[in-house]
Amino acid sequence: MFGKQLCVVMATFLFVYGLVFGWSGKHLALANTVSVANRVQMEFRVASGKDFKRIAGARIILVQSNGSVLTSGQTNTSGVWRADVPLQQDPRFAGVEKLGIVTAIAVANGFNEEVVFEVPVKQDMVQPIILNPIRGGRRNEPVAVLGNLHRNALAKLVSRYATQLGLKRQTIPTEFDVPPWSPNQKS
Amino acid sequence: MNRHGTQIAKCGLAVLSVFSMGLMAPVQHVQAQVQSIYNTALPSVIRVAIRPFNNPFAPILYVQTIGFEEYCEDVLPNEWVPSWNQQALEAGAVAIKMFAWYYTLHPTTENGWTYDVDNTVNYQKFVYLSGTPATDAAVRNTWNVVYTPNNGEILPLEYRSGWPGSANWTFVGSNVMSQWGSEYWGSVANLTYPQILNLYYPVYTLKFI
Repeated sequence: MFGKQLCVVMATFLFVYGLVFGWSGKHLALANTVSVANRVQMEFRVASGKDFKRIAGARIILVQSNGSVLTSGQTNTSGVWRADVPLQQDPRFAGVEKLGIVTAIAVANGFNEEVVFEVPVKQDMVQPIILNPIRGGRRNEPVAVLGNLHRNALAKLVSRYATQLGLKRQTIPTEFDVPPWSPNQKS
Repeated sequence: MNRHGTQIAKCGLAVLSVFSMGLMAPVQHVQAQVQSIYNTALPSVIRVAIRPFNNPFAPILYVQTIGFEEYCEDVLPNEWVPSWNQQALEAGAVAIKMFAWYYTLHPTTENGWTYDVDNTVNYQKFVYLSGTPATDAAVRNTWNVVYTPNNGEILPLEYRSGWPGSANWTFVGSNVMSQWGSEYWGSVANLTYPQILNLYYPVYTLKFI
């Protein structure tokens, strides 16, 4: 009788053990898969602001939101660097668009440095960087520019927070496109 | 006398015909001013005024002259979305080309800069070197296609963003295309790009050059 009860308890324990750890293992594997799938390929194209020719050998450093270097690489003879980077969702775009944001620092021989803020991280994203040539006898300092955020991403970002605050849209009598948001809240 | 009279009459007719040809000439000249696909070649280059941060209210930094096809390739991914339906992208490619073609024929001078378009939504958002494989393909696939009124006049195909994820009915038949609407009609209703264009610009027709 006691042996039978023991068998039932053991069987139940093994069943639950298998269920829990088996599922966890599967889940862990799935998590790894998701992590791999979250890597995206982006393209940086670097050209001169003087003659618009591509710049080979330019180095691009990608910095993530926590301040650490994400990755770095140099452009090929076509002035292109293809980067494979993890997509870490930017919280400002959460629920709006699957989009990460990094900062890119570009340096190249014969050119001033450039810092590109708000570079969108997305599959097949293209980020052009136009560098300014060094000028003798002048102050050659880094310049700041903005990343190539799509117009739609900007509109979605604005709509997300305007909706959150309960704002209403303005009206433009001569235009039937989506009008800008108003500072006034819906009554 | 009779023979002399005939000569005078002949001379008079000749003078009259030359005079009347002269009167008709300005009329022919006015008709020739309509710039159509039948008398105007596709431009090879376009002058783009560059404003900082693609800001439509910012002053012009410089004017960049670029190949016309490359210009279209560097506009499409910034006006439409590269991951959108291919037919929507091709409808966008035709609109972008016609819009830019019109403005190469109607340039602007501002603070000493002469340009055809700028890099902002004053015209079309242009980012140098931003072409993507999908949007480049859309431009190439429609490069020999134009969309004009019946007389072939080169006019800008206007478009706006519209409402995300909807058919954008308010734009249908308005001669203004909705970008989001084109994506809707391409991906949900499986319309081809000529059908999408026809929805928005009903008096225009597709032609090949």
